[in-house]
Amino acid sequence: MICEVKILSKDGDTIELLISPDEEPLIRGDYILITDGGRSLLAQVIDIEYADVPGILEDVLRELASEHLSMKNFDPYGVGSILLDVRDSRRIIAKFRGVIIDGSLRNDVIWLPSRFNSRIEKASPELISDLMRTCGRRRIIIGECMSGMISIYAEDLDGRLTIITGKKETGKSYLTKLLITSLAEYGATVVVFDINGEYIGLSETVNGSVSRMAGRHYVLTPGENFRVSVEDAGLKTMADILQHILATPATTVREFIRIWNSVKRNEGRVTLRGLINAVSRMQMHESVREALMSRLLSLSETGFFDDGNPVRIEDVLNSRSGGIIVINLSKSIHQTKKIIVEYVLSKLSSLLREGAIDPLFLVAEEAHLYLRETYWDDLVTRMRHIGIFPIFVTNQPDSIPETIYRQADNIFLFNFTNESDLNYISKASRVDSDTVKRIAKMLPPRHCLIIGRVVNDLPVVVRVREVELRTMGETRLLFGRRYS
Amino acid sequence: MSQLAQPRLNDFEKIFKPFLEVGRRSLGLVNGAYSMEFDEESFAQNDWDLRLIEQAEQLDVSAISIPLEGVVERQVVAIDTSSIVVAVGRDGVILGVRGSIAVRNALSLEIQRVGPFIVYLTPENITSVLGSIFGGLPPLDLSGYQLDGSIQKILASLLEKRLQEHVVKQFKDSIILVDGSLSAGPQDNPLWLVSRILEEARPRGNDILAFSKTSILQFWSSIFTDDRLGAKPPYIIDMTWLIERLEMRVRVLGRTFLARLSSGLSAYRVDAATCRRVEEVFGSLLKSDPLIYGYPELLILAHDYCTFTRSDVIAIQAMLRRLGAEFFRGDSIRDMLFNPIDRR
Repeated sequence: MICEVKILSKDGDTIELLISPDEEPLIRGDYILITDGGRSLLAQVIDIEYADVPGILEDVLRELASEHLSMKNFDPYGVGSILLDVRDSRRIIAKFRGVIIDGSLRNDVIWLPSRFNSRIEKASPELISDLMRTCGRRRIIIGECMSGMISIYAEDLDGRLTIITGKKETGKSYLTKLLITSLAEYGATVVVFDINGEYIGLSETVNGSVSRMAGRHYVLTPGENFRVSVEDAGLKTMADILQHILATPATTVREFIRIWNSVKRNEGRVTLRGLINAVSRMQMHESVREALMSRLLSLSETGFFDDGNPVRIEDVLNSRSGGIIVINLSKSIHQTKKIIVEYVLSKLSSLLREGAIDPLFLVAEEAHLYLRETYWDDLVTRMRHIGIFPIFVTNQPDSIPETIYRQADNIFLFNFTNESDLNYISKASRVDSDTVKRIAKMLPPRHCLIIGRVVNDLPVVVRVREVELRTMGETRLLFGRRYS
Repeated sequence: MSQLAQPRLNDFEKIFKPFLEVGRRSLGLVNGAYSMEFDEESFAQNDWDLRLIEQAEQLDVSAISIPLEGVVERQVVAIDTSSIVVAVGRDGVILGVRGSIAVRNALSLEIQRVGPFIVYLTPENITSVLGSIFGGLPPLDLSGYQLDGSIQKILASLLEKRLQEHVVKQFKDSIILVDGSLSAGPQDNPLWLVSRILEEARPRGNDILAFSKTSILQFWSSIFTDDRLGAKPPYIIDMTWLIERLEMRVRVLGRTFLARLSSGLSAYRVDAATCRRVEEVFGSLLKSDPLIYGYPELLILAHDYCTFTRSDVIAIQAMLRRLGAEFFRGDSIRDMLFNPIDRR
């Protein structure tokens, strides 16, 4: 129980409490329970400030002025020590999260506890776990919260849009690996667009031995063990690649469609070589020929297209029951990355529509680097309905459109100090902006604020637990160990 | 400087033992009190007699220049006290009183705060509480004291006199600055007590200057201008004969001056009881302590460090709660009648 604390005010969903400086320190994100009679008000600490003590300016000025003086006090009643407590008293700013009646949390009850007779205590992690529990069965232990362990359920990520964001080196990739390995262990398929080669080491533990993910982890490196045929990509995907990624004019794309159909009709199958030959011999305007030829040669040079010995992604996905498929984009140049992503998304969509593969999670790290603009809305609406459940990971929150935040079901928010980043994220609809701004700004590394369905809309601050896998997310240093 | 070897300020526990014992006993009587709203205006002490203005206008005066060369730098000691109504109980009033002693010499500047002392004054215990401030000294005749609006000022004044008495005994060859005047006669300034302080100061080479911020004399600074007097600050004007003639109810011990110690309109009434030439004492003061608007900085410091702030009052009330006192918030009549429209 917190002894020296009183409710000061409630304004909207903000509750302010006055607390003695001698009390055990609270941490942003801690829950406090204010009990009066048979009901308890649940509030979450989002900040702490000095109390606005009457005459404090005068007191501080006096203290400041006396710093160069030799001060002596004869204080027979010990008022000075009480005065120190009064002047240093703190104002806790907390957010109303609901009223607990008969063990269940309700937001619709209009009730306030007594300012003077309430019992105020820190809520136990067990209580918070109980209140945020959803009806899942597949537990994912995320980490430590309020001196206890907190877990979420894989079912609350299933079919949802999840965002993991925070500034660099705060632990986003770490958490992502924790989530996807847990999902894979429960049999889910996770496709990862890996732009930095961070996810290719999941088969190993930190000490180099084989990890528990070894049988469920498969790395596809474009140009090496991941080459596809243009026919497998299909006319629509190839036309999209030409139009959106290689900036081919619409008239030229129309000519390409004509050529594609002609090759298919005459040769029975479409290959990149067949298309190049057709462009060189068929009658068309020279400028169109030149435009098409240069682009088809560019596609050929990517090394991603191989009509002789292609990999069929559905074979990779169906060859195992769940697992992590890492598409290693780290070796590809910018434009090739976009071509590969275009192919993969288009192929996954058609496979899911045909029922050829099971629904899957798609991890897109820094997606703005390779995802064309028209895909954002597509991913969170159409693709989500056919069975692609995106997990966006970014350190640039404004690279994800605002509408995506509004539709996000779960947000794992790491530290941000920049106001404009925080303003952007605070538009998420599942939490108030005060909570986002005040808590996220002060989160230490490896700590995140979890918002959304996974926590039953009770935001919690969690210290992400260790994973024993080789994470490979660390920055390579020129001088070796930074402080050696 | 010989003054630096003087004894330090201490022994307050011993000096104020009777006052503390009686004060603590009195607090045991509190069983419910209304906390007071802090209002600085309630502490203003203005009791000027406006007849002075009419009569003093006809007087002829001359300035005494303060020498700045050839005077010695001396240790300066300033004393001030402050009191506050903490709460009002069923039978009496809870008062807090605090003093401060500021000492400046060539080596250091030291502030000694004494208090706060907290007492619950009732009509029954008022004599014993006020008398206990002076401990083992000859008992004061306190039969005339009543629990009215002036009691707060009286309590502060008696503590101040006790501190002055202590200081003049502890220090030698120092300039002792006090707030107010050396008028004796009213209840808070018994004639015998003020006389005794001055008598104890003199043989130890201490000079006492009492600065008054609220005397009617200071208004004369706009009439006794530099041009009319043919003098440039710093200077003093002897007004003793005027004050003796006009202040019928009290007796001024020492001499009274209007002191303009810096340029500008700031001038103050200063009562002086000195064992040296008064202009020499003022000269030493100017050499030893900075002036702020013609007023000694050390007195301002002494005032600042005894004055109660709002958080002091909250802390005192918290301390009383720990002793078992219960407080209720007293609604002001003004608030009840006029708020929320009234904004003063």
